[in-house]
Amino acid sequence: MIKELRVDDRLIHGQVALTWPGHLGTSHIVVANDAASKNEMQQSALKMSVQGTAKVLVRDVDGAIKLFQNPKAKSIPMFVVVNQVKDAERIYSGLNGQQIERINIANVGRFDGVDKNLKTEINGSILLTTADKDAANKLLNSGANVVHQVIPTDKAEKFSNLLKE
Amino acid sequence: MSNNIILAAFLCGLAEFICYGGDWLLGQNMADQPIVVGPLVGLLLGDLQTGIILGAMLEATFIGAVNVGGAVSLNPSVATVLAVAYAIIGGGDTKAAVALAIPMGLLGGLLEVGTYVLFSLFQDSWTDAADKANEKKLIWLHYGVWFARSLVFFVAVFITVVIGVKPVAAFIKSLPSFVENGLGLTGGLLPAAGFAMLLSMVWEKKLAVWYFLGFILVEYVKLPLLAVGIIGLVFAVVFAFYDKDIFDLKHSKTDTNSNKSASQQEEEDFLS
Repeated sequence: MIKELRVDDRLIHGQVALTWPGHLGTSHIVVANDAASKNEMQQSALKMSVQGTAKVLVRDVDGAIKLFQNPKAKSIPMFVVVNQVKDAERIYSGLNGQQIERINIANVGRFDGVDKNLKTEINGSILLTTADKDAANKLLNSGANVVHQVIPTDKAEKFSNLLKE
Repeated sequence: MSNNIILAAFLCGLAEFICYGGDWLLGQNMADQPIVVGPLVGLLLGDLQTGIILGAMLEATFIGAVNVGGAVSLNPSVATVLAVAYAIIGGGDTKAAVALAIPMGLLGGLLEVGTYVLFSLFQDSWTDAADKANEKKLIWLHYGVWFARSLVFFVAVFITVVIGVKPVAAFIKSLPSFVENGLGLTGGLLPAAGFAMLLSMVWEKKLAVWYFLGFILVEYVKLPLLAVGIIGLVFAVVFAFYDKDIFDLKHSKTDTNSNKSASQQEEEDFLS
């Protein structure tokens, strides 16, 4: 069961490792990222950043989807982190929208090296490429619960409202 | 205005510079925490004891106010320097000083965000220097921006102490005594609020029992806090050794299970 599917361009960092697992009541973090799954150095850095507080597993997106379909995984509350909206959409459709309580587009598109002029700036922490925007619309159209909430003490904003503005 | 207050304000500013600047210079080493700042300011102002007492009370208050990433809530070092200055220079009650520290910490947090905005003006110089591989310029920017940013805090604390501490202390003394009493009571409650914030972050079933054990030891057994602290340390050491044994055991297990791929094994460990 996925308590939260978070889109964060830094994957695991302080906000993710320290504030969210306690708030969500989960001690299992899955990083679903194609690049990180092939980069051992990045994997050990990701694991190091949550030393002791939670278990971390790094998989490519398809591997992560397979993991979530494992019957054992269905009973464990998990916190899943991806770094682009596209990947969140892949997981959502890969699971037919099942098991995912909430998708949180928290931070995205600040460090991907794509020219800022080619992106839509939703707010200071969300810059969407056209691919990401399409993915977000696809998620909304299929009825996913999509919000924007950087840390637990922030208010959760409906992502559809942010896109309209 | 006497020279004394100027000197005292300079020392307060210096302490802020050392602690806040020192924290950021050497990899966020926590030098900006009240437990470090309080005694230093106390020492510089000639009243170490008050500095230590306030440092400890404020540490308990601010321990749950963690600034994660760019999300700044409170600045503990500004709050501590000004609270200790209020107690020592202004002769104010230490508990009232704790209550006053909260709004000071909030203003310090605003100042911190302000400096982030201000010094982001150098962003293009950084990128430019990195593009041209200009090592000298990068080093200058690194230490220069650090120095300028810490200097802003030095100046802010200096000015606040010079113009603010004595008038505020005199003002609070001029109010009816129930106001200072009320501030003192609030100040006494704030460390509890600080710990509550910390607990809300780290609370889980496994840890909750320790909370109740601590409560019983203090409230019913009436042990002094030092004794409770040492008991805690003993438990921590015992559990650290157990954890190490378990860790070693797990690792020897994965070595023998070599018929599974590392990736499968990893997945099984994760789901277990």
